[in-house]
Amino acid sequence: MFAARGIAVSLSVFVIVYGIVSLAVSLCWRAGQRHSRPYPVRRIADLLFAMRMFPLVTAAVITAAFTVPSFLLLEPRAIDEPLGYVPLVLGIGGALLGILGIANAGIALRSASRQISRWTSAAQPAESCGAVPVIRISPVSAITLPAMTAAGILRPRVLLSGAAESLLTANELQTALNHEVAHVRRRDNLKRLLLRLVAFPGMKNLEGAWLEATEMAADDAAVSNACEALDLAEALIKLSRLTPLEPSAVLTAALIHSPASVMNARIERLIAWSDERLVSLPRFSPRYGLGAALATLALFAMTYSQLLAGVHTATEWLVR
Amino acid sequence: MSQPRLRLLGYLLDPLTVGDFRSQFFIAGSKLSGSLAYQDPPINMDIPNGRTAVWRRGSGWDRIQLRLFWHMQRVFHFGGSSPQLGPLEERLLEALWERGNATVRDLVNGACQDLAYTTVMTTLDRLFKKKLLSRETDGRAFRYAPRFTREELHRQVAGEAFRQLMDASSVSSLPLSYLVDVLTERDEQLLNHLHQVVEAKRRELRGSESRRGEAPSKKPSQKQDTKIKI
Repeated sequence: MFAARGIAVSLSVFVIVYGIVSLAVSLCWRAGQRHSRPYPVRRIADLLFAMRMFPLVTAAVITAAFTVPSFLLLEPRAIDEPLGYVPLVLGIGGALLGILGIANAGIALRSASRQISRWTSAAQPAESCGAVPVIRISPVSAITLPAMTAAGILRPRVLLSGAAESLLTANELQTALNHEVAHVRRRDNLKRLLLRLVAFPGMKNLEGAWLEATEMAADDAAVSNACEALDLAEALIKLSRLTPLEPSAVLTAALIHSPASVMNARIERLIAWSDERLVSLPRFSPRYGLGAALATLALFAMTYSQLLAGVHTATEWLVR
Repeated sequence: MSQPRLRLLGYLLDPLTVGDFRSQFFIAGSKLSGSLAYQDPPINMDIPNGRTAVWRRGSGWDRIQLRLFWHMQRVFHFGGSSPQLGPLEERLLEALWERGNATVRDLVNGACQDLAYTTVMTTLDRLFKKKLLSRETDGRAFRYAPRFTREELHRQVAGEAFRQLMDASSVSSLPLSYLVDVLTERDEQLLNHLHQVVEAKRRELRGSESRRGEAPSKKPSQKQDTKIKI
């Protein structure tokens, strides 16, 4: 009963914190995006992803660092008090949340694996591009191939169709491959998988904004001057004409995944490319991060026992 | 319960129990209120769950139903009806989007010098009542600001237009197929336009590079080599 109570209380706190922080993020993320407009788009993409993952991380840290230790250290084991209706319901809710998230991610992973297997059933390896393997995929009956996509999570690679290879010039193909390699280097497919774990109502717009930002960040990473930007723009235009447009597989970063009217914004941004986008991001010394982490740890170490007592009091209120 | 009242109850319940209540209800409400093309009576309108009704014009009971449905349409539309904007309203909205916020005097002294003060004031008040503007007191006047960005408003208007298009046909796949055709055609035109813009930009770059005496760094897009350049 003690263990069951502990699990229920921990899951309850997780659900409460996750729900509250998710709600706050879903209400406030646009303000964060507006304030981050002066920054490079890859920073914006990182910020959006961080905001999306913030509720899960916060809830996990609070549960693991405070709730569980406070229960284990301060809850009398001899007392056999009832579980409580609220922790029971919230605990079941938390368990379901976790199971659904894992199931969602598992289904997406399996679907992506099957789709990629179908695409690569007649594949021929090409040489790598920037240490990322490139695989030429050939038409297979009744299967529509993507023009170009970054696929895979643990061992990502770029899939290149024969249609794209024959349609694009060498320069256009190179910049398009660079775009996909940028997705691989930023581990965008892994991030998509993580998003599957942390579903919450009202986050679709935030995820859509992140997807858009990652595409633009990959565009910026793929080009280094105006000519290359025009090459990539032309590649997007040419590949957009390839029909039919099939929805891209989950957990892949296809070069073309929207109709032309939506790609319009990306293409126009490439056409208006300027050298200012090459500005390198300021690199903060790790000493600052280390210093901040040590200061936080010191603060927690000094106040940890009071914090645990406070958390235990709050969970007692929850049980009652 | 009398037959007309049963029928009315059926109409009222159906939108609440059937999944696609808005389209069904909007069709009913719009036909009755005359906003869509109205078919001459008698018409049979199939209502989900197998009930049918025959519309008859002219009777007092039908006029009551018409009024009731008009009100129900307003209620169940949940404010989703698209704001129909006149040219003056659009012009003032554009001015506010550019300025961020303004009083009537600001607009009359600025972008709307050709308009009378009372005209601008009335129009802004109308936009405020349509919930497109917010306002706060600024001394003795109101300062108006748009509640939505240009993109948000256009999205709302376009969405409502698509919904009305869908509801206008008894076969929902018809409007969709027309829409896909139009979009495909527009996509093609858009891609052609973008291609021309890219080519123009390339010529401009080559021109500026040759003026600076540098060799062009990239050739124009011609098929050169199928081999992937690593």
